[in-house]
Amino acid sequence: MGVVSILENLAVEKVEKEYSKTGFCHSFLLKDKSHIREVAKRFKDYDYYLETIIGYDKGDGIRLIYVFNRFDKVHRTLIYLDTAYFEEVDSIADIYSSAIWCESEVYDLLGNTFKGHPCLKRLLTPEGLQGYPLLKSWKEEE
Amino acid sequence: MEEQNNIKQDFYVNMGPQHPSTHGVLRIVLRVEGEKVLSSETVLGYAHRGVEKMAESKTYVQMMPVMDRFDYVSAMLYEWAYVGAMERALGITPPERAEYIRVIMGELNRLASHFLWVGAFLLDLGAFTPFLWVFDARERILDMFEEVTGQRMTTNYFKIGGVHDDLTPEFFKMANDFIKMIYDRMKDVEELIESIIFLERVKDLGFISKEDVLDYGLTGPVARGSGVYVDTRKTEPYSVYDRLNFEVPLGTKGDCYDRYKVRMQEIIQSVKIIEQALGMIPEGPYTEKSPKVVKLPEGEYYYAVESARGLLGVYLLSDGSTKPYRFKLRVPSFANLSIIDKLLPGNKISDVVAILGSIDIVVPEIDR
Amino acid sequence: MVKVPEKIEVPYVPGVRFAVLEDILNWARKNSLWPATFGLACCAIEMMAAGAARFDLDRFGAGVFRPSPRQADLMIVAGTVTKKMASRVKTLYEQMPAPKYVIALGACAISGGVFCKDAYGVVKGVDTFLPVDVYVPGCPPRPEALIYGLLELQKKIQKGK
Repeated sequence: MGVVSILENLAVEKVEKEYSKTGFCHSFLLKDKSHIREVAKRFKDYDYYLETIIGYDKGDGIRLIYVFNRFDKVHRTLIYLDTAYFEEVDSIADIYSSAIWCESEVYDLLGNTFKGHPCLKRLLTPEGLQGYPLLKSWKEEE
Repeated sequence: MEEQNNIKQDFYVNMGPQHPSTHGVLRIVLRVEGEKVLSSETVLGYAHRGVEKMAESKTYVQMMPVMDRFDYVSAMLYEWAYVGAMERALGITPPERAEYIRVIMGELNRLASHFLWVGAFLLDLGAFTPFLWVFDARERILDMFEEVTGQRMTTNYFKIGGVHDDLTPEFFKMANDFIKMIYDRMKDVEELIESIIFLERVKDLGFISKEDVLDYGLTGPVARGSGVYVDTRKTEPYSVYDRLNFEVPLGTKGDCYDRYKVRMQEIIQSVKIIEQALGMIPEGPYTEKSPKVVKLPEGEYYYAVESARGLLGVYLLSDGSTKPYRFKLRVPSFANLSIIDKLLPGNKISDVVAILGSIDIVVPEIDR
Repeated sequence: MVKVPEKIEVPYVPGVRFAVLEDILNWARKNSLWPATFGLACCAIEMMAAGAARFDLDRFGAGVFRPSPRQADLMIVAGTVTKKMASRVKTLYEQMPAPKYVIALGACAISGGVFCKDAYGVVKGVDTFLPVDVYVPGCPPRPEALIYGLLELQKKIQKGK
C-alpha cells in the first residue's frame, strides 16, 4: 500500500528524500492546512503511528513537521505544515493520543495553539516564563 | 451519626517532586477516595534545562558531552544516535572494527540500564537484597568502561568516524569473566525475586492493549510486553546488527509481570550478542579520519537507535554553518509516560508505585 | 600439644571521664549523619552506588537514607537544580530540623556545570540560595570522592560551627 496512494485526493506536494542520506523515506508538503485531520485519520487506518511532532522557526513563520512510521518495517514519512506566528492549527489529539503531549510541547516552546485540544497548557517551562523560548527572537531577561 | 459515617470525601495526594520512587523529579497529583485512585495528573518540567535552545549556540562537537547527560544510566546509546546522524550527513562510514566495538559497548550499556531498573523496581516494592546483587554486576560493567574510556558513567567515547580508543587485552579478559558469571547470577536473582509476594503485587496490573500501543506510540519493552513486535535493531537495522543472531522476546497479556519478564529475557539476549561480537571482531583501524571543522551540508537528517527504553531519534536541521539550526530529540520515555493518566484510575495507591516502576522512565530525558 | 593464644592484658582504665559537652555532642552528631534522598540527575546514580555494597557508606554511619526531610540532618544536592525546582529545594531545606548540613555534589550543583552558558532553565549553582558546607567537584564525582567529602564534613562538625 503505497504512501502516495494513501494520500490521494488531498492537496499534497511531494518533496524528494533519500533514506540512506537523510533517514526519511518520503516527505510531503501539505498545502491546505485544514486537511491535517484527514491525513491523520488515513494514516491511522493503515497502521502508522505518530512518532513525534517537530517545530522550528523558519524566519518568516513556523514549520511543523509530523513524523509517521510503521512498526513492522521502517517507512518514515514526513508531513510539512507551514503556519504564521501564533496561528491556530487543528488538533489531532482525538485521533492519536500521543499528540496530546506533543502538541502541548509545541505550544509551550513555539506559541502555536491547537483548536480542539482537551487541555492545552505549558508543559515544560518554569512558571512565570514570558514568551516562547524556541523562537529566534526570544531573549532571556534577567 | 449515620450521616457522618456515609459522607464520602475525596482529597488530593501529591506524589511530589521529591519522592524515593519516582526515579527523578516527577510530580503526579492523585485524586483519591480512601485508598482508590479516581484520577491523576502528571506535572512535568522540574528537570527542564533548555538544552534544545542551548544547542543552537554551540558547535556540533561542543554538544557531544551534553548528549551523555540525558540518559545517564546508558549514556553511549545516546552518543551513538547523535554521531550516527552526523555521519549520515557527512557520508562517512566507520571501519568494521569500530562498528563491532560500538555494538559491544551499546549492548553493555543496555545491560547496565536493565540492571539498574531491576534493582530500583524491587527497591520500590520493598525488597532490598536484589538491589545489592545487581549493583555488583553493574559495577563490573563500569569497571570495563573505566578500563577502555577512563570514566565510569558519562564517557564521551564515540566520535565521528569511529571511537576514541581501542579495546585493550585486559578488557577482553574482563568481558570473558563477566560472561562466565552472569548466567548463574541472573538465575539466582530470578529465583530470589519470584516469590508469592512479588507475583501477587505485580500480576494482572496495568494492562496495555495492542490498540493502546498504536494510539500512544509506545516502543521498547513496554510495547513488547503487550505482544507487538517492534525493535529498531530488526526493522531498521543499523551498524552490523543484521549479521548478528538474536531473538526479540515478546509478552502476551501486557501487564506489569510481562514487562518485567521481557526485560529479564533481554538481558540474556544482550549477553549472547556480546559473546558473538567478541568472537567476530576483526583486526584493523578503530577510527576514520574525521574533519577538523565539522560543517554539515544543508538539509535535515534523522537517525534512530534502539535504546534501553524504546526508539530514540535525533533530528538535525543544518543551514551549512558550524552550529545546528534546530536540534530535536525524540525520546522514548516521553511517549511511554503519556499512558500513565489512563492506567492509574481504579487502582490502589500502592499499585501506583508498581505501575510507574514497570514503565521504566528517566526524567531528565523527558524534560530535556 | 595444642597451642592456645596468650591471655590479653587489659590496662586499668578509670571509670569516670571528663570532657567538654560540646565535643561529645559533636562526636555523636558526626558519626550518625542521616542523609535525605534528593537525587535530581546523573549524580544521584553515583550517590546510590556509594550506598551500595562496594563503596559502603554505612560504615561511616551515613547509610540510612531517609525519604522524609523531617527525619534527616544532611541534604546531598546531587544534580542540576532548575528554576522550577529551586523553590521546592528551599522548602525542603527549611523543613529539616537544626543542626543541618548541605553537601553540593557534582559540577551542576556547584556552578551550573555543563549548562552554565545559554541554558535558560538552570540555576547557576545551589549556593545562590542555600548555605553549602562541602563542595564535591566532578562530573559525576566518583563514589570515593563523595566519601572523602563526607569525611571532610565530619571534621568540620567536630571542630564546631
